[in-house]
Amino acid sequence: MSKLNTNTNGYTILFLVIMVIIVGGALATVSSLAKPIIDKNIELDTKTKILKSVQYSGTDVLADYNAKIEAIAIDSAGNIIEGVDGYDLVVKKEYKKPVSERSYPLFIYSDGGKKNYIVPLIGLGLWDEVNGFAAFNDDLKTLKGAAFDHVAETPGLGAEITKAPFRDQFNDIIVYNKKGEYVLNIWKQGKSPGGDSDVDGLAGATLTTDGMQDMMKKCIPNYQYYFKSLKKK
Amino acid sequence: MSENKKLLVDPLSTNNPITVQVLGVCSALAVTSTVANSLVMGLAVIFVTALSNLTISLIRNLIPGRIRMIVQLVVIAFLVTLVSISLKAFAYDLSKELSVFVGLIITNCIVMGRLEAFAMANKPVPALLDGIGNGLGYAVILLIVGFIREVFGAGTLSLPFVSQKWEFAKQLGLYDMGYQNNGLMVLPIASIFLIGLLVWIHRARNTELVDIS
Repeated sequence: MSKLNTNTNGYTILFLVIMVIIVGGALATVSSLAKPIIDKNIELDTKTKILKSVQYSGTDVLADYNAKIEAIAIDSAGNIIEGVDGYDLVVKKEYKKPVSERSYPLFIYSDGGKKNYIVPLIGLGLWDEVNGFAAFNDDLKTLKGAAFDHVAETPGLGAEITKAPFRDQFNDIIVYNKKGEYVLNIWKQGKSPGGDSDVDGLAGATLTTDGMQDMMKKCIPNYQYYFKSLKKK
Repeated sequence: MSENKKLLVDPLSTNNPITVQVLGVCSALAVTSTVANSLVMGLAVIFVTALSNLTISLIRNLIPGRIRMIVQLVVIAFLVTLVSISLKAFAYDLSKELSVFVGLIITNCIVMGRLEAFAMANKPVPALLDGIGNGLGYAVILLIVGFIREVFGAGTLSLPFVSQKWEFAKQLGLYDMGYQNNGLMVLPIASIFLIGLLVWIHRARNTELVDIS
C-alpha cells in the first residue's frame, strides 16, 4: 500500500471518478427506494391538514379523506373545470401563472348532508412559505376552521401557527360580512378588538402573522365567483 | 484500552467540541428549542462523525493528498444525505421541524475537523471511537441547552417519535399561580447565553482548561 503513488494526476482523476460512481450510485439507489415512502408521508401530511381544517378528529385519515372529500378545480371565473382532481394541482405553481390561466383547487367535505368548502392557502411567512387550508361553512361566509403549516418559521414563535391555540381562533370566524365584504383580520398580538372576524396574532411573530393575513386575503377572494354561483343555486 | 477509552470520554468534557473547541455552535444555537430536536440532531451528528471518521480512516492511504478535503466532504455529504432521506421516510414530522439543519451537518466544523485532525492519521477503530466521542460531546451540550430552553421556554418536555409532550407546567397548575414561560428561551439567542454559561461553568470547575498565559 505504501508503494502506491497517490500524487499523480492520473491517480487523482481515477480516484475521483470511482468515488463519484460509487457515491452517486448508492445515493440514487437509496433515494429511489425511499421515494414511495416519502411520497406517502407527504400525502398523509397534506390530507391530514385538509381534514384538520374541518376540525376532524378521527384516526384513519386516508380512508376518511377518500370517503368524505371531493377535490375539484375551478377557473378564475368560478367555473368548474371537468376532469381535474384538485388534489393533483400544485397550488404554488398555479399562483405563479397569470390570473386568467390559473386553476384553483377546492376540496368539498360532505358529512351528514352538510358541506364544507375547503380553500387551499399559500403565502410568505418571515423566512419561507406558509400554507394552509380554510374550511368554509355552507353559508360561504364563515369558517368552520383552518389548518396551517410552514416551511421554516422560527420554532416557538412563527411556527406556532400550526398549533391549536392559534388555529382554534379561526373556528366559526366571519370572513365575509352580510354585504359580502371581506372582513377577516389577523391583528398584531394584543391589538385584536376581539370581534367575530378578528384573530389575535402571535407574540414575537408579527411578520409571520402579517404573512398569514396577506395569504388569506390573497387566496380566499379567488373563490368568490364560484361561491356566488353556488348561492344562486 | 485506556487509550481507546480516552478517545471516547475526552470529548465529553476536557476536549468538548462545543464548549472547549467552540465548533458546531451554529446548529447548537438553532435546533435546541426542544429536547426532542436536540436529541435527534445529536444522534444524526454522532452517526455522521462516527461513520465518516471510520470511512476516511479506512481509505486514508488511498486518498490523493491534493484533493483530500474534497473527498472528506463527499463522504460527509453522502452520510448526511442518508440521514436526511431516512428522516423524511421514517420520521417525517421531525424532518420538517429540523428542516435545513440536517443538511447543514455537512458544514458542521466538528465533522470535518475530526477527519482532518484524527481520521487521516489513525487506524479505523480509534477513528471510529473518536468520531463517536466527539458526536457524543456535541450531543450532550445540545441536550443540556435543549432541556433548559424547553423547560423554561415552553413549560413542556418532549421526546422524539412521541407525539405527546409532557406539559408539566400546565399539569402542575403553575400558570394558574401566575407563572409565565420565559419568551427569551424560545429564541435562538437564548442558546448563546446558555452555551456561554456552560463554557464558564466548565472552565471554573476544570481549571486546566483555563489559559493563564
